[in-house]
Amino acid sequence: MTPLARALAKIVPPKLLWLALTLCYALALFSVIVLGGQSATDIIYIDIEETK
Amino acid sequence: MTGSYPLLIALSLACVPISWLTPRKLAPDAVALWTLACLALFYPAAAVWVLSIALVLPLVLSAPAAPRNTAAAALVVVLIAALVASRFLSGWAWVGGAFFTLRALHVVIEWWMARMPAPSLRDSLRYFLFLPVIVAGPINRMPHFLHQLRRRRWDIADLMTGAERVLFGLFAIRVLSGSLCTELRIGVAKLTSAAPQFWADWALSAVDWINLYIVFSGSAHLALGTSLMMGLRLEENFDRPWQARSLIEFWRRWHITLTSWVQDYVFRPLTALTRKPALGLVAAMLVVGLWHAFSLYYVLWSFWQSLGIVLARLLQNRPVPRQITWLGPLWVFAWLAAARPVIGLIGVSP
Repeated sequence: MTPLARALAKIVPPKLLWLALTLCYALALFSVIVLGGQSATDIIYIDIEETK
Repeated sequence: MTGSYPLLIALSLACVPISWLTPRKLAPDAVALWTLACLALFYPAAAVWVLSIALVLPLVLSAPAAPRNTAAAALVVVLIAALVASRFLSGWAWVGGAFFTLRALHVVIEWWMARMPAPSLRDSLRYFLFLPVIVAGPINRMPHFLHQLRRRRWDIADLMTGAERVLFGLFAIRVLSGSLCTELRIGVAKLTSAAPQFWADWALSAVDWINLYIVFSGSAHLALGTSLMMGLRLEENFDRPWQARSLIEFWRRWHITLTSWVQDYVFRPLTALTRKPALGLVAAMLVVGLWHAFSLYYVLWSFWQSLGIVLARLLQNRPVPRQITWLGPLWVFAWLAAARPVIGLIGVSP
């Protein structure tokens, strides 16, 4: 079981666990693709030189 | 996400099928080859640099004629000089130098202290050319990495947990940081536009710390999730830092692989040598500051952090009313965010 599945198992009936898990993944993917934006370009810990 | 980071995430994720579709014994070598090809294609200067490290270290460290002290000292100087040079020679598309330099120094120092044998050429290439951790860490250690390679096996639970972490990392970077934090920053900037510069800077610095945590911990989820999908459990980089009740505790929970690195290779040796923990602390925080960037701002930033740790140490044994202990994380957050406006008072900015 993944951490999310374990967390959902505490609040969702066993029969609905897979449905809840699939919905969570779908929602996260949808958010990343549709709602996601570009984060700040000066995050110091991401060690990529911008200028090529 | 920043610049070409999405491309590197996609290339890192390609390591997962590569590692499972090639024969078990050759999988780490295939990943190393893939990493080298990606770096050579998009970041040639960094590819030459990291490949040189991976090739030279095992050759020098295993040479029987090499005097131990001289070889270690020369390698440390060259590695640090290369990192410093990369910071001043911009325009060469450097990537990951801050991370793989510390990995290389760890290998040299462990060998010099006779706690680790000289790595074989194959192990060195596998360790240094591992794409998921090149860009944003963690600064994983070689013995742990090689142990993970030996115990690596297919586990569907690990694969799914890793995929979940990758998805969470992408969500943190693109949605929480890319959308929400961007809006929050605009809102706070508007709200504080009429306030004195010091307070406006403090508020914006606080928002930037939140954003930094979201992006950096998201990057850690991406790196560790991708590694877990390959069957490798690497070192964690965060342990809920915002629950820290003092600055000492914060630095134990934030960027753990960097703080444990400076603790092992700067703080403890210097303290043992001089019997002055304060000197060891200032030197360790100075290394952390300069590791971020070679600038006066980060020198002053490291002094600010050292001062905070000393104050936290002095207050540690004082009785604190139970009712206000929950304010600890807020004090820590306020101190961290105050660095920028306080240093700004003397006209120095990041």
